[in-house]
Amino acid sequence: MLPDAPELLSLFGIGVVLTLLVGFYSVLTSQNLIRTLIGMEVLTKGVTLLIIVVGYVVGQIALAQALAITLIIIEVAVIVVAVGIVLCVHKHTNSIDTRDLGNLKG
Amino acid sequence: MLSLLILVPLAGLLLLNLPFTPAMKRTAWAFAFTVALAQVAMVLVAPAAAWSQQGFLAQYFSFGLEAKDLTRVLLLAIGIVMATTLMVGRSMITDDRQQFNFVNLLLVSIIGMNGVVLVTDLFSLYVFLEVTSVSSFILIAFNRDLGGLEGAFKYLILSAVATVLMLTGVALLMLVAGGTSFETVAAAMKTSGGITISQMAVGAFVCGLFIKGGLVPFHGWLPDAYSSAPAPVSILLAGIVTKVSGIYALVRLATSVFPASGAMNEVLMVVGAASIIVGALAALGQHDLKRMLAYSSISQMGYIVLGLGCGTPLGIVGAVFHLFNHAIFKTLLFVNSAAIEQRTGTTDMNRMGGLGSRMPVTGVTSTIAALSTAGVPPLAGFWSKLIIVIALWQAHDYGFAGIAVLMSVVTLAYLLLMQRRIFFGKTSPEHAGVREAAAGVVVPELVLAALTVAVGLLFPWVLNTFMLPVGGIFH
Amino acid sequence: MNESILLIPVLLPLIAGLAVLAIRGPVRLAREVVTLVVMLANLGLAIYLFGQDLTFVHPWAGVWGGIAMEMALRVYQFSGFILLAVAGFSLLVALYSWKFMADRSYGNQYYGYMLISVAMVNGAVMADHLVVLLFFWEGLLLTLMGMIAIGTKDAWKTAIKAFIIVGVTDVCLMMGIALTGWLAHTLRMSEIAAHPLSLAGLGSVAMIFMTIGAISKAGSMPFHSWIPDAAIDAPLPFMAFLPASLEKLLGIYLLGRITLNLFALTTESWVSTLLMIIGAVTILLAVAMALVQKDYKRLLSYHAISQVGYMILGIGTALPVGIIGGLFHMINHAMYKSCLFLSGGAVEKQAGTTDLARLGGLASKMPITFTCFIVAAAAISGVPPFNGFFSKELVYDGALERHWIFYAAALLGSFLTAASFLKLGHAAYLGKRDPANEGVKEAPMAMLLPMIVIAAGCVLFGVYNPLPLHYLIQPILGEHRLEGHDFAGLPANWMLVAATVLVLAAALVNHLVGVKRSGSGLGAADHIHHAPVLSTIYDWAARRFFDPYDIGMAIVRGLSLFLWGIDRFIDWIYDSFIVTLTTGLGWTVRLAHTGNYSLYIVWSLVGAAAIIAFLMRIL
Repeated sequence: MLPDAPELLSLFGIGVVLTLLVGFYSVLTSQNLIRTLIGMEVLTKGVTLLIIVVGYVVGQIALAQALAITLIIIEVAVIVVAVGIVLCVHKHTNSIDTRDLGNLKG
Repeated sequence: MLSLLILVPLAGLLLLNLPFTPAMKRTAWAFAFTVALAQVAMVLVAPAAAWSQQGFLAQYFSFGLEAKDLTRVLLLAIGIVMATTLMVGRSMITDDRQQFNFVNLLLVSIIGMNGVVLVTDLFSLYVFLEVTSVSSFILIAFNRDLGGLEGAFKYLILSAVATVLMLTGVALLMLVAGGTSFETVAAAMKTSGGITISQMAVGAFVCGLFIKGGLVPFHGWLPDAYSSAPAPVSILLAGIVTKVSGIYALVRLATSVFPASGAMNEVLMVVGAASIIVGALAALGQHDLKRMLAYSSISQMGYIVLGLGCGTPLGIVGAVFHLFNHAIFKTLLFVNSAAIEQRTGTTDMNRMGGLGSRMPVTGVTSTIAALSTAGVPPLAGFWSKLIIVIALWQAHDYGFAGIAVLMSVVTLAYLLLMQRRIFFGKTSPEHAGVREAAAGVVVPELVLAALTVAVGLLFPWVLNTFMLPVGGIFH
Repeated sequence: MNESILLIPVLLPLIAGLAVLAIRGPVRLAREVVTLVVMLANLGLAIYLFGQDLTFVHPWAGVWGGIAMEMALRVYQFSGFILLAVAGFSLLVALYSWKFMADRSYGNQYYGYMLISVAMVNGAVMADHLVVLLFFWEGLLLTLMGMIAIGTKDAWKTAIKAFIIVGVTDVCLMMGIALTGWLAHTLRMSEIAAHPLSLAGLGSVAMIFMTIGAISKAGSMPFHSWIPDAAIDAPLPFMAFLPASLEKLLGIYLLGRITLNLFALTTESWVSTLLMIIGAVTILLAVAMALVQKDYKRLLSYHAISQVGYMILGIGTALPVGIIGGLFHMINHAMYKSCLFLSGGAVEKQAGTTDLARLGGLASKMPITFTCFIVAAAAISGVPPFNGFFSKELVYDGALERHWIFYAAALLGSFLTAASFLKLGHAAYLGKRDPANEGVKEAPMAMLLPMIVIAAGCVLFGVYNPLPLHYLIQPILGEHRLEGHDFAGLPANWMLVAATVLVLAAALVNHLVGVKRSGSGLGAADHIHHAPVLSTIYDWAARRFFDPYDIGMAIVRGLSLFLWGIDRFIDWIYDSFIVTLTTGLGWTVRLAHTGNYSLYIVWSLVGAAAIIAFLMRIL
């Protein structure tokens, strides 16, 4: 581990936590499907940041970079699928309100 | 040799989708089916040498793959459920283009699942999990009806939360262990498994797996996804995807990678017990068949995790055995629901009745599956549940053993209610003209039912050949 | 000679019976011939075996709890005697049945069951191991049912009733045998006989259980209620065959063995008193019922029950004179009761009915039958010099020695018996003839011959009573038990004889009075029937108040209703309480799933936080 690990971690750690908070807030409370998806993106970015920082701190930056790139690719795939779903929902209900997706219950 | 399990479907996927060979499209289904059956055959008859990672492929594809006993059990289950899904899908999806898309997605799914069970690295595990999940999202929304879209979306969102949790765990573990492979992490956990960060990391990762596995209270997406997905997809999801994603990873990690600690076992047992209870209780009042079966799946997953949390080798054996059995009988139940859906066009049990005389094979196999789920001797489900209860008893967890047994009664109750509502009683007038389901659905029913019975009757052999070696997973 | 010969009396009739059951089709005479030949062979073999002491033992079912289960058969004085009697009666009834059953459709079953019954009785009589005894005993139950059920249309109801009654007592016998075996550490009767069990403690319980089995087979009260029903429903020669002779022989044989060989019955034990009470009660109640019957067969069947009372009373006295009397009465009764039934059968066949109201004046039409009837009726009433008189005197002697009240009961029973038979004889054979019976002819020779033989036997055993007593009965007891008495010849106590003669005369007077009063033989007992208290009791009895079977069935019904009520209650608790609880919880859980994915995410995050905190040992 790098000698200034604790400081780096704390600094970036706060950043990560903030990012995650913003992401969760968006996912949980938005009434707009697109905003929800953006929130998902933000969440994933947060953890990517965490991985990079950790990788740097333990000296495995190459591994961390590989992981980050992989993550981004996966995330793209997921988001594409998610947007596809939202598009189909829009075809059905003509809106992108999250409350349209609350029909299955019980 | 092991890489083939991933590479062959991948190659097939690429080849089949080359734009200038329409003939390929027709062979897609046959190819996928062959792959699935080959996987089953490989587990059953391949010599030990095939299970090592030698050969020229190892040089080029350097993610480490390993197939010990647990993996083999799951590969077998994956093969069986895949083959079933393919057969039912062929029968129920009539449009050729849709069929082709379906097969493609299933190939992706196979790649993902085989990868999950074979890899030896945390991050690779995550990658293949995502591959499986993405294919699942698309499959659930396959028919593009609002229900399916909703189910897919909920799965997606919760999967994203799972991603966050798992990756946080990975990051923190990297902090402690300096790497992400199982060996590295395991070694690190031996020395510094007790420190706060490790525990946090392990907790986070495990919670992510809980979401994927559909355990309480992380299960919110499961009933919606299972019930709104098209029939063949429900079969796939319930039969293997949740198990591979959630449960396999849990078993693998909790036993060989993460530190075995009393606290972890406690968590597993509490989560397991809660799943059993919530699943069983919620299943009682359902009038949608697939939703009831979805809650039943949650409940049975609870049994598996309960056995796992027991901490003893016998508990693991019981858990894995139940995992395998559940793959068989839950798949069978969903195949039956597919048959019913194919013929009556509905899954609302209030509108069914008296189908037993019209759909005899479905009725009988459904009864067999229901009895196996409830744990009635001498079917397979009885033995695995028995082993779990015995393991709990031996570990002095009498309360949990009691819960397990008690909830079996509730399980039996709602399953028998289901049977009665669907198959017995007066035939409802709107379904008076139904016939037995198509051959593509009936054959898997029969095969799976035969498997349940056979495993139940031949339980000593199955136990010794497949399950007991899994108990050696502790190291 | 080879002991395996003992297997033949069992196997030969059994195989023949099964073969007859299996015959289908018109080979009608074949079964009668087979039956007669087998019966003759059986008789010949019984004569051959009589007087010998042979034991056949074969290991059978290993050793249970230290007690060996063997197939053990033994012929000695007692069992040889019974074997002979059984063979004789079966042959006579088979001969009689030839003509009687000529026009019945169920001939195959009848002869088949008859043969199998003989096999079973032979086996039971020869059994030396209590489990072997039980096996054959139970087998007899099945043929009993079979023979009843082939009678009239509703005969199966009686068959079921017989099955239940005899079955329950057979269970008592089983329990008695089990207890006996446990107490004696062996189940071989000859071994137990060497050291009879005392009646202290469990011994008396074992004896009571076994006695219940024995006397029920013999037809004593309170296990009797199937017999009068069977008299109507079953084919008549069956009555002469099983209830009248074979079952009495078997039942009293077992009672004899119980009191003589298995247990040490003494005059002081309460079991002896109990037996005497049962005997006395049976005598009185059954004969009272017989007195008011208006059907030939039912009347006879009640008498059969009544006479068993004498046997039980005699054996129950535990005195040599009483026991000899009881055993002698057993064989005598077999003779005259079967003769009576056979005469009733002759009447039924020739006149077409046994309803006493429609019979009458048959004496001149059926003289031989009438004569046999008179002989048998006199014998059963205890008229000297017939055999019944002598055996009854011995029983009186023993009863009086124990307590005068038993003697009085027995004497009263004789009075009523005599009155009853006077009535029967008058109503059936004397008096005005019903015009419908003008064409009645005497019964065919095949039916007459057995009656004549038996009636002659009654005379012989009476007049020349040293023959049966010395050769058949007294050897059963053995020298030391007899204590030097010899009961042959004329009765020792002249007072008793005088009392008997007085009683018989009183019965005659009563009958004549009754005839005068009612104007016909049939009404001769009406004044007893309609006497103040008695008429109510009779009324109740006719409505089956006292039928233990009916009472038992009513109790069983009441009990099962009660238990069913409890079961419903427990069901209700399960159904409503637990079901409500579970469905309520299920409803709550389902409500919690609102369909809003944000809620699910919150659940997941809260759960994750809780788990992580727990793992970090904060929680």
